[in-house]
Amino acid sequence: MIYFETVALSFFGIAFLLMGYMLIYLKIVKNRRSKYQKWKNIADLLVSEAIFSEDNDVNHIVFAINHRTEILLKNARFRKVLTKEILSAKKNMSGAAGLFLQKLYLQLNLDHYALKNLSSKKWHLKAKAIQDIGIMNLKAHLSKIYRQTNNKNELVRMEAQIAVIKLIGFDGLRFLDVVSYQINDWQQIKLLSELSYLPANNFSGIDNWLLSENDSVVIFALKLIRGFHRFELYHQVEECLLHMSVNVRYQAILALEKIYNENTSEMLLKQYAIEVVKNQIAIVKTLQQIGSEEDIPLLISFLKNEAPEQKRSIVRTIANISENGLTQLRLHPDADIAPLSLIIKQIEGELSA
Amino acid sequence: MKILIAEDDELMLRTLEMRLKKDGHEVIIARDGRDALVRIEDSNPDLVISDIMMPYSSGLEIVGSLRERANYIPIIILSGMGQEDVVLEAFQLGADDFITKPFSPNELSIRVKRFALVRPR
Repeated sequence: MIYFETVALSFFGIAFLLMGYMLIYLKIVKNRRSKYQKWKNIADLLVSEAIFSEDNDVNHIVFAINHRTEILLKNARFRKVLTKEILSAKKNMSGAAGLFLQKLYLQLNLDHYALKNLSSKKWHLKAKAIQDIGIMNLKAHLSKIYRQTNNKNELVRMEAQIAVIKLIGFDGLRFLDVVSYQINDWQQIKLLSELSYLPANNFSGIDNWLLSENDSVVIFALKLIRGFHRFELYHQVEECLLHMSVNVRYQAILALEKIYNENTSEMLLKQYAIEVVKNQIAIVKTLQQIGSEEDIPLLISFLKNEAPEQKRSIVRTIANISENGLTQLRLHPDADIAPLSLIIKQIEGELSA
Repeated sequence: MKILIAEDDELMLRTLEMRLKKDGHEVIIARDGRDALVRIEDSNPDLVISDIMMPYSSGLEIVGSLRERANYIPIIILSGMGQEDVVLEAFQLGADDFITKPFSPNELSIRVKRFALVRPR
């Protein structure tokens, strides 16, 4: 009996303790949420005030900050909420509203905290500070951001490279002169996407980047040539076909498709013989866009030794170059033998669809 | 003019609401696509301003659903940068205009005024 009472008492004791702990925990969470909501409301009010200050002069406006907010600004958690709201609004607002938001950010000295984090040894704080400075378009801090474009931490480096483009547009690409770390594919996509929002600009420096010892810089330069149709760099791109890196040569083939001239297809057909399979397929696909009837005999000769995947690309290119392409193909000695016969049939089907 | 704004970003929603109210419009707000469709049905607004990416139903679904029901309320789509394909799809479905974020509240005001001018009275 005593044993049973002891067990029951222990059980209820532990249950009460757990319930007490849970209640206290829930109360803390509730208080935190309510405090966060209050802070968010204060931040939203400040942001709205800034957005709707359009009737004022952006150079002389001073936002009214009440005493309570001034005290709250000393609290890092409140500053985090406020910064988040200002940045979120800045991403959505342009024109005068965007400038007023920048003014508010500066008046609240939030840039000082961003700069402090920029010197932090913690990479995530540094990366976030760079991102904030870029979004708020704080050109005054360009040199500090520029120094981080070759930071040993990949994420810090990535944010800094994006931020310099946000701050000074195409001129920000001069980080390519000095970057020694590889620019990965994802970062290249992000950089190109950032550049696509900017008005077209005849920026300089690509010819130097094509000579970089960093292969990823050469690849990115070739992507820029391709994306911005830089015809004047044709010969430099042509020289990239002799590069040691397969990927550089691959990008050079893709770039030539966009800036081709009357000699490009002939040059690419010569290159075909010395290329790896990936680049051979790229050449054939490029010829689909820029090839002429004169290229067909040589393309047909490539059918002799190639694997089915390459054969398929070659047949598709021949069929797309000219209406006579398929007629010439049917005269090939293997035209009635699989897999070529099946490939021809498939491409015929594609064309008639 | 009675305008419905469908936007899931609270700050953006409040900003648009304040701006349009300041311009003298009656504003109805919806925080997701499903809510927007219900409110359009209930309040029959003169203009819909809708974000593309929203929970439950996207801006595209709102355009599609309205045009399917032969409801020709003008619709302005709010899109992010780099969403050109989605904007094109919205136009194909029957959207009337679009604004790319970031945008100036003044620009929105002018676009809304344009619809107010051509609105049948």
